[in-house]
Amino acid sequence: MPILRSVTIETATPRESAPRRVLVADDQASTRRFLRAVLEELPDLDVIGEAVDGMETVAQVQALQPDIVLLDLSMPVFDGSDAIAGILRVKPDASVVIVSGMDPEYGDPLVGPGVLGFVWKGLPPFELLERLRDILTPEGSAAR
Amino acid sequence: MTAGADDVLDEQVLSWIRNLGQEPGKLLEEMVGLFVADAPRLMAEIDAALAGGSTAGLARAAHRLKGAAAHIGAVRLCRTATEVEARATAGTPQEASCTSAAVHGEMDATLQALEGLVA
Repeated sequence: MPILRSVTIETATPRESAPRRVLVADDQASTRRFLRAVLEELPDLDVIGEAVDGMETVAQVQALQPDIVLLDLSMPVFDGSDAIAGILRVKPDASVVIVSGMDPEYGDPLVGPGVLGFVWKGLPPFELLERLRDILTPEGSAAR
Repeated sequence: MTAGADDVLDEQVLSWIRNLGQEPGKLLEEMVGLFVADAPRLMAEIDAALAGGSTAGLARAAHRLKGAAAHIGAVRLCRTATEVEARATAGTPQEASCTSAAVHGEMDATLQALEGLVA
């Protein structure tokens, strides 16, 4: 009598892409903690580090090579467009998302090559999450 | 924001933060702790800018205070900081003692309300 063996057939499943690595740059500890928690609600993102001023942001980008930088525009040492230029100088393919309390008329013009979007920090947290979802996830991009 | 005009804290924001993350309430507790720890530095920056008559410094300090207040749902403190920042940015003269009293008053009320939350 033939012996029937159970055979496990491994089906080829598509390899999931690695989560995108995020650096959070803001001089407020409570804001960094808040942004970390918000980012944990979004799929395929991994917060790998934090920075508290513009100089540390650029150093961390060079050291950690994040895919995405959440950047406050108003930080000590240097900030704003100088910080964006520094980030893109050390990692030209990084994507910056500005999260700032500056008025949108100041932040919106900075959106362009290397800068995915501007999120006004004064939004209620649930709206801030949706805005980040819109910018950072394919679902959000598709919905636009 | 979703608070009434006289509310120190926005309950809808607090409720949302409370339910964020794996362990309900933990993030809010952490954020309150960080805000309370940072409050003296934030207020010292405001006071130093007022004492030195630096409108640029006052705008920066009020901006930082505004951001910190917004994320913890401190709606009245956020509103006051926004007004101080706007006046400083516009170069509008501010009576240092009045501005200081207003910001300190709102910060004290905020700290009291936050301590009540996590007590």
